[in-house]
Amino acid sequence: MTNVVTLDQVYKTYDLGEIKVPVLKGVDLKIKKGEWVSLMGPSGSGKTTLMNIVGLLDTPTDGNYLLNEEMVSAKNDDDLSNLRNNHIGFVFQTFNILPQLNAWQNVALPLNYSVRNQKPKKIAMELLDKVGLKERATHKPNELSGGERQRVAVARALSNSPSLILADEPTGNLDSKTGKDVLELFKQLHSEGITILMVTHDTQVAKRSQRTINILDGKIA
Amino acid sequence: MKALNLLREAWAEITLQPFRSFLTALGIVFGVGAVIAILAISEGAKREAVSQLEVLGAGTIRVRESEAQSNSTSNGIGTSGIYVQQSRGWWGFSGLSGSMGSGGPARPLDMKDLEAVKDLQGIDAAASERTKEVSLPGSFGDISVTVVGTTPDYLKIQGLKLQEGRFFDSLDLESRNKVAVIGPKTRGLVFGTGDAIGNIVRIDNVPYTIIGVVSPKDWSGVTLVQIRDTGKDVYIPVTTMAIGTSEYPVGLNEIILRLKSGENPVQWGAIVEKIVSIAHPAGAFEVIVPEELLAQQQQLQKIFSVVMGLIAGISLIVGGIGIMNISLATVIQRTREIGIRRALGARKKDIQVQFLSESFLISVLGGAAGIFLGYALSKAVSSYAGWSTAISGVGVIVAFSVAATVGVIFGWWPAKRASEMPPVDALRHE
Repeated sequence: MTNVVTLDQVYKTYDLGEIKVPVLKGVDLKIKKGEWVSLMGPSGSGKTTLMNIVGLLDTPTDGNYLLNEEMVSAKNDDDLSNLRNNHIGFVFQTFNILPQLNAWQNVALPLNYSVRNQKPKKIAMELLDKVGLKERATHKPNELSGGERQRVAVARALSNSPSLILADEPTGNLDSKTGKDVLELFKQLHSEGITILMVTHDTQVAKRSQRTINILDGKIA
Repeated sequence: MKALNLLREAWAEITLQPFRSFLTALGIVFGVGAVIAILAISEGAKREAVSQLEVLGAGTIRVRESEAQSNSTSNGIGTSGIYVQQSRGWWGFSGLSGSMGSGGPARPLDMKDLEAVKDLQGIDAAASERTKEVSLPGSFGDISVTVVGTTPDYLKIQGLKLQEGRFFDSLDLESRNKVAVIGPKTRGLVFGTGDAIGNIVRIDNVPYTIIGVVSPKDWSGVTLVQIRDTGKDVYIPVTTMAIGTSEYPVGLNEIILRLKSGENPVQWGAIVEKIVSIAHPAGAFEVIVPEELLAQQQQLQKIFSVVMGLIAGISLIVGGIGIMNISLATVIQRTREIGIRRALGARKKDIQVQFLSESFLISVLGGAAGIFLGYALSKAVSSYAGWSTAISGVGVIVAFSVAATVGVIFGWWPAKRASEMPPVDALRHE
């Protein structure tokens, strides 16, 4: 099994001028293809920073990051954008779908930035069907419930067939019933062989995954 | 396809807040409107100049009794059908008038003046015009016509053509023959469809034999000087017209000169002025050079264009700043969206292009509205100032390009700023 994510002694220090704030202090992490990993830790432990680095939204101060066995630490901004577009699907706690676009347009959004020649609407409709929102394809986000919005976000994360789904507390803003539905969706994706890294506070949620990593004070505990 | 997508997204974004977009575009609307109006007015002026010179005849000089004078002369000559609004300045000197010692009204123009100027080196042809309003019996009652006493070159100088018969020649002039050439309307009103040539027309009970009929000519394009409709004219030799009067030399309303090609009308106009003023120190005449009047008119329009150009320029800059201002506010307002798009794989360039296409589209739409405004503006100016205007295709293209350029230039910096936002910070933005 290949490793989708390999972090080797990753450090991240924020330079605030007079003081330097170390957030990650030598993180080693491997996630295998097809794994579902939960990431837990108190606030301020460095969870979000780690997720940003894994998601290629931020770069480590020191250490190596290999995505699909490929070194990505020293890539330029355009390359990182393309890697995000092709390999990473984000699901946020606050959904982060664009209010001015309808459901299928939101799902198709990553395809706009892809160099691959695709049929955005067709792909978006298939994915909405997969998450059970086919009938809602032309609805704007303000016409959808929280659970539905998060399902749109999941469909969007899948649109470029990424190697890795990064979910940052995907059920954090949902009630327990709809949260359960969304977790079911992740379970289904996992069973289809998709690699998932999910931040959560909820041990019940973490239990659904194969493996839980705890981060504490910038280090994997 | 990609560009079309961008514009579609930009359109969706703009129509999300239509009133704000409208306000954003307003400066561009006025700027482009002014540009269109300027171009329409200068284009109209150019075309008008060309058509007026065509009708009046380039290289003509007209000497006519001045407006103020024509009412006070009591020589039996009717009011000239032609007048100019403005009396020209410097020979109206009261000091010169006083030196005549007569104290009476200034002498009218006469054949002697024509003789004095017609053989000048630069003059190709010369003709006189002495007009009088008379009534002729027509088939549907009396008709009022203008009898024009003139000389053989008149036809050529006025650019008139004959549709039947001939014009009178120098022999008719010398022999004071009672012959007449009539305008097309007079012909129709007096003779209907019957023969006109060889028939008699009675002017003040004197019978004249009709020898020719002139073709219609459209004077409507001329706004520089007012010219009567020549359709109802009756042309007779000026010498014949003076029979029965004691006038010597024969009085005239107007002398029309045509220059040889290549001669400068303004220079010759000044020379003619000097020569005529020797015999008329009181200055009861004026010299009209169409080229000169046109130049004055164009000077006025040039000033107008410069002022409008300034307004347009300021307006476009202010419009551009408005776009920049709103775009900067929009970028901040949409920081989170930028972060989301970056997370989904948008490169800096994609973000920049997205915001640029929005300001581009706003400008172009503003430009389109500006073209309509400019059209209305130029129509208003032409009806208020009496200038003709013409919207040219080039003008529309220029205005459109200006609008698009303003949108891109002033949208560039906000778009650049949007693209430079670190994705992590942008995503965290509330």
